[in-house]
Amino acid sequence: MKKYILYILIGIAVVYSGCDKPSPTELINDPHVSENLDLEIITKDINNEFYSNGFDTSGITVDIRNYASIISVSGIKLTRNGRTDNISSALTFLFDKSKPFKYNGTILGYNTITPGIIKFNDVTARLTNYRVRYREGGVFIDTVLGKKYELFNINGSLFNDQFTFPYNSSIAFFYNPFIGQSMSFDISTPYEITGNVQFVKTQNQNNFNAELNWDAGNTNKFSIIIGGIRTSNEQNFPFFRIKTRDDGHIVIPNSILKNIPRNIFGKISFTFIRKFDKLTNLQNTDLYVVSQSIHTIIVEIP
Amino acid sequence: MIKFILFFLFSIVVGYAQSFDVEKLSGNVKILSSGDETWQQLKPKMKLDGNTIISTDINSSVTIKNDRIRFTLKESSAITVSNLKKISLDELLMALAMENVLNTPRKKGSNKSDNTAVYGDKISSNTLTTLQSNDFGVKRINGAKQLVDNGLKESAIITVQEIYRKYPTTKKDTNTRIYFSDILFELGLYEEAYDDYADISKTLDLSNEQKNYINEKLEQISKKLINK
Amino acid sequence: MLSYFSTFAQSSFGLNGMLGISGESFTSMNSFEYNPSNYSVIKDWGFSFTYGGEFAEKLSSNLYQITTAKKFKSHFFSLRYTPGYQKEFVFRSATSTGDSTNEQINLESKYLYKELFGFGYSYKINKDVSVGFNGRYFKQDFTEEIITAIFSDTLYLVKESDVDNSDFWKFDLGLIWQPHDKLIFNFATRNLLIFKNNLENQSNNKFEIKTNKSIIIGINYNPTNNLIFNLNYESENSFLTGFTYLIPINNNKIGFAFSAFPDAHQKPFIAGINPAVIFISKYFDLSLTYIKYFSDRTTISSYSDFTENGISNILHNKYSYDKLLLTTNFKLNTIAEQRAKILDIEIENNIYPALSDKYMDTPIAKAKVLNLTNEFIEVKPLMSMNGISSNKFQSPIVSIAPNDTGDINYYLSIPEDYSKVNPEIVYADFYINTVNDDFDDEYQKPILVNSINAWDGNVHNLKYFVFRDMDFSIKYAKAILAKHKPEIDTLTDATSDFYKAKIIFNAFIEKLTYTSDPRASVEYVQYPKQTLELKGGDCDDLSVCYGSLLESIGIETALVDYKNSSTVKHVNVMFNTKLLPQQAFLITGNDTKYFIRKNELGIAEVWIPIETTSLSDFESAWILGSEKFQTEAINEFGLLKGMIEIIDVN
Repeated sequence: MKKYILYILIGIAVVYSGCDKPSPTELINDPHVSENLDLEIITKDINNEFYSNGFDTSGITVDIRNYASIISVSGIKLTRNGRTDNISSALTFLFDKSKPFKYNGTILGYNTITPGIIKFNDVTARLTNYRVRYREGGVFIDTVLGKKYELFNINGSLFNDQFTFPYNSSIAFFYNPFIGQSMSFDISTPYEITGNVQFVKTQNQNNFNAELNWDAGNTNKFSIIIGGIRTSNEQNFPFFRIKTRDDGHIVIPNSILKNIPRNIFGKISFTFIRKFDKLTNLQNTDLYVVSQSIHTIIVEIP
Repeated sequence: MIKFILFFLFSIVVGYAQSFDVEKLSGNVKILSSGDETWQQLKPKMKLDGNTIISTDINSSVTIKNDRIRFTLKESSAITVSNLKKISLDELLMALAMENVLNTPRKKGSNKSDNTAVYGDKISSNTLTTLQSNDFGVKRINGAKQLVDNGLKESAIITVQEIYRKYPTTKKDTNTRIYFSDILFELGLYEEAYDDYADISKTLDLSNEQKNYINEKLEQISKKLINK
Repeated sequence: MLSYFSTFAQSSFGLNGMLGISGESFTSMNSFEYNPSNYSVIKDWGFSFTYGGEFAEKLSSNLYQITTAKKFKSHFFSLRYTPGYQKEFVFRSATSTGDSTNEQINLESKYLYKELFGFGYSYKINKDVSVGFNGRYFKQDFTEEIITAIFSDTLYLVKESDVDNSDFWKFDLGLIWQPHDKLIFNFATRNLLIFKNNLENQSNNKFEIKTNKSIIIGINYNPTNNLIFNLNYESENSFLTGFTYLIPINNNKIGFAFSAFPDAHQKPFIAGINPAVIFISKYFDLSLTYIKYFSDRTTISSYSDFTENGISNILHNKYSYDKLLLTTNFKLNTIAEQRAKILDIEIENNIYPALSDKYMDTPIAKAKVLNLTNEFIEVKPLMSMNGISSNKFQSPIVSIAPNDTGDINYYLSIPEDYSKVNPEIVYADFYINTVNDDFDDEYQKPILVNSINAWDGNVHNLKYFVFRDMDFSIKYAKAILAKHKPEIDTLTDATSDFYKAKIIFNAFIEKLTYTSDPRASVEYVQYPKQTLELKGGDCDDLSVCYGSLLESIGIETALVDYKNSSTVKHVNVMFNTKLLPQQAFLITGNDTKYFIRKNELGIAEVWIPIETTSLSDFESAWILGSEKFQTEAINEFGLLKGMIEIIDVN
C-alpha cells in the first residue's frame, strides 16, 4: 500500500512541475465596429476662462486659428431646462495672417478683413465684431480683432436674420469681392441630429453612466463634446471631445464623469455634432468650409 | 424390507386381545395378573386380561376361550394372554421387523459415551446363576409351542422371540430352535427361516442328524428362493 | 473563420475519453460532467489526475484535475480540484487622447472563468439504482481597464482597473438505473440550482457563464464484455455518442474509445471527436485522449460575438482549443475484494435456548456459498446473535473449490448463563469470511429466541432439559441416597441401580403434584431444579426431572415418547437396571414388567418403564409404565409403527 501512495505522490510532483496557464482567447472588434473610445481633452486648464479656440454656442468647434479663412454653417439645437431652441448660424472669417494678436507670446488670433459681400442662400451676411477675451492680472479684457460675416436666427424669429439652416440639403454661398471676380458654391448640410442623454445608475454603487443616444446618421465625422456649465457665469466649458461612430449610441463611463468638480460646474453639457467639412481655396488662400448639425443638451449632474 | 412393511402399517388393524373366560380347568393352574408379583390360583369364572400370565404345573391344564379363540394350555407351560391372538402373515412380518428393532444394539450418543468402561466391569461382576428363571423360560417355550398346536403359528413366532430375549438360555435349546424354524418354513417365510436355520448351525452344537436336517432345509430354501 | 453559433456545448463532456456510465473506473471518477449522479464503481479509495496540453498558438500544458474518491458501503464521496478548468478572454482596446501629445492609452480587459473545485455524493439504493448529486464552485473574474478623467488644476486622463467578480455554486442531481446487466440508463439535471454573488457592475452580466437549465438522458449498452456503447442526449439538443472497445490481456485491459459530439448549436454537425487509448489494470488506469474540434480554433475571436453569446461551459465551448490529455486513475483497495458470496441461506427461525447442546451439534443455518475466485478458498462462517451473546460464534471452516459452491453450517453456542424467561425476536447476522477480517458477505435475519423453558415438542430435545442444572440434580440425588445409606449398603451389586432408582423415585415423588402445562401455545418444560422447587409439573417436567436425577447418579435413562395422535402426547421414563435378562427375577417375578434392550456391545440388559406421573410410589409407577409400554409399544406394535419412540437421554 505504501508503495502505491509513493507512486501517487511522485505522480503529483511530476504533474505539478509543468503547469502553464491555458492560453487565452484574444477578442477583437469586428472590422466595421470601432468601440475604441477616442477621447480628446479640449482644455487642460479648467480654471482658464479665457479661450480662443473658437468654441461657443455658435457651433464652431475647431481651432479657427489654423486656417486663413473659415466658412461655418450650423443648425444648432440647444436643450436646457426642458426647452429646446433652434438656432441657425452662418459665419465667415477672413483672416489677415500677417497680423496676429499675441498675448504673452501666444497667438490668440488674427485680425480679420472684410474685402467684399457674402451671402448665404441669398441673404447678405452682416458684419459684426470679432472679439477675443483674455485675462490680464485677474481682469478679463475683450479685444476686437476686426469684423466677421454673420447670419443668426433663433427659433425662426422675424427679428433675426431671415436665415434658416436647411438640414440634409445645401446652402448656396455667394462671395462678391470688391476687387475681382465673384464666386459661389453650394455647401451641403448633414442630417438633423437629435440626441438624448440618460444617466443610468450602475448597480451597488452611487455611480452613473451616461447613456447617449441619437438618431444615427452613419456619417464619417461625428463627435460628442462633453463640457461643464460653470455655475459662476453659466458659460459652457468644454472638457472632452469624443470621436465615435455615428451609430446612435454610446455609453460614457462613470470614470469619465465622476470626477467633475461639482462646486465649479453645476451642469454638464453633451454636444452631438455631425459635420461635413472640406478645405478649399478662396483667392489663393486656404478656405475651411464646415457644415454642422449640432444638438447640445445641458443637464444637471446627478 | 422394513420400509416396505411400514408402508402397509397403517392399513393393518391389530386384533386387540380380548379377555378370556376359563372353560375347563384341571390340576394346579396359576395366574399372574398385570403388574402383580404374586401368583394366584386360577379359578373357574375368572376373567383373564391381556397382560395376565397363565402357568400350569405338571399334570395340569386349562382351556380358555373367547368368541374368537379357544385355547388349551397343557401341563408345565406358561403363556401371556395377549399372545393368544390371530395375526396375519403381514402382521407377523411386521412383528419380526420389530424384533430387529428391539434386538439392535443401542447406539450411544456420540459425544457423551463416558461410561462404557463401567459397563464392562459390572457385567463381569455379575456371576449369578439363572436356573430359577430358566425353568419359567422352558414353561414359556412350551406355551409357545401350544400356540402352534392351537393354530396360532404366527403368534407363536412372535411369542418365542420375546421368550428368547427374556430367557436367553432357551435360545440355546437346539430342538426348540429347529421347531420354530420349521414353523417359519411352514409359514412360507423362507428368508426368515433360512436366517434362523443358519443362526442355529452357527451358534449351537448340533448332532450329525440335526446338522443334516438343517443342511437339507437350507438347501430346500435356497432352491425355493432361487425359483422365486 | 469561426462559424457563428451559440455556445450550448455538451455539458456532459469529460476528459477521460471513455465517456458514458459503465463498470470501469473512468466512469466513476473525476467527471461530474458526464456523471452528475456521482455513480461509483470504486470499491474503496480512488485518486485521479488529468494532465494535458492545449494546442493554441503555443502549446500550454496544465494539470486539469485531481480527484479523490472514497466509498463507504453504499455511500460514495468524491472531491475534485480543477486547476486547469479555466478559460480566459482578453480584449484590448485603446483610447486616443487628442491633446498635444496625441498619445494612445492602451486598455486591456480580461474575462477569466474558473471552476475551482467540486464535490459529489451518491447513494446506492440497491444493485440497480444509484442516486447522487454534485456541487461545483465557479469563479468569474472580470478585469476592465478604464480611463478616468481627473479634474484637478489641469484635466487629464489616467488608466484604472475596474475589477468585478462573482462566484457561484452549482448543484445537480442524477440517477443511474441499471435494469439489466448490459444496460445502464443515466438521468441528470444541468444547472439545477445556482447560488451566486451578483456582479457589482450590471453591464458585466452579459459576460457571465450561461446557466440555462436542461436535462441529460443517457443510455449505456454493452452487448459484449468488451464493447460499450453510449449515447447522451441533452435537452438543448446536443448529443454525445461513442463506444469503447477493451481487449483483456492477462488481468488487464487495453482498448480504445471514440466519441463524437454533434452539437445542435455548433457547426459543423459533428463539432468534434474524441479518440482515446485506454489501459485498465487492477490498481491503476490510464487514458490518453485527444480532443479535436472541427471548426477553426484560432486564438482570436470576435468581441461582439463573445459579448452577445458568452460561454456556458468553461472547458468545452466554441473557443476551446484542441487538447491532448493523460488521465491516471489509482484504485486503492484497503477493503478486501469479495471472494465468496452467500447464494442462499436456510435458517431455523425458532431458537430454543434450552437446546443449546443440540445447536452445537446441529447447525441453525445452512448457507450455500459460491467461491468467486479461481482458487481454493477457506470459508470461515461467523454468526452473531444480538441478545444471546455479544460474541461472534465461529463455525467450522469449509474449503470450497474454485468457482464452486459449498455448504456452510452455522452453529450456535448459547451461553450457560442464558436465562431469559420471555421469548424475544433478535437479529442474527451471518457472515462469511475468507482471508482477512472483512466479511465477504453477510446476511441478516430476525429469529425468534424462545424462553429458556420453551420446548419444541420434540421429545428428542427433552434430553437437553435433563442435563441442565446437572450439579443440582447430583446434589439432590446424593442427598436422598445418603439418607438411605444403610439400606443401600445391603444391596448386591446387580440390583443396586434398580434400588437406587426406586429410592430416589419414592423420595422425589413424595413432594410433588401433577400440574398441567402452564402455557397453552408453546410447550413449556421445567428444568429439574424448577420442578423440585415448584413441587410439581406435567409429564415432561416430571420425566425430565426423574431422568436427570437418575442420570446424575449414573443410571442410564431413556425417555419414552408416546406420540399417539388421538390422545394427548405423553412422555415417561425407562431406565437401565443393568441386570442381565437371567437376573430379572431378582427384581420381579413378572416378565411383562421389564424389557430387554441391548447395549452398544450387544449385551442384553433389563430396562423398566416408569410412569412418573403416577405420583404414588415406585411400584405403581413401574406397573403403570410397563403396562402402557407392553400394550402400546409391544402388543400394538407402537415401536414399529413409530408411534412410540425410546430416546436415550445420553
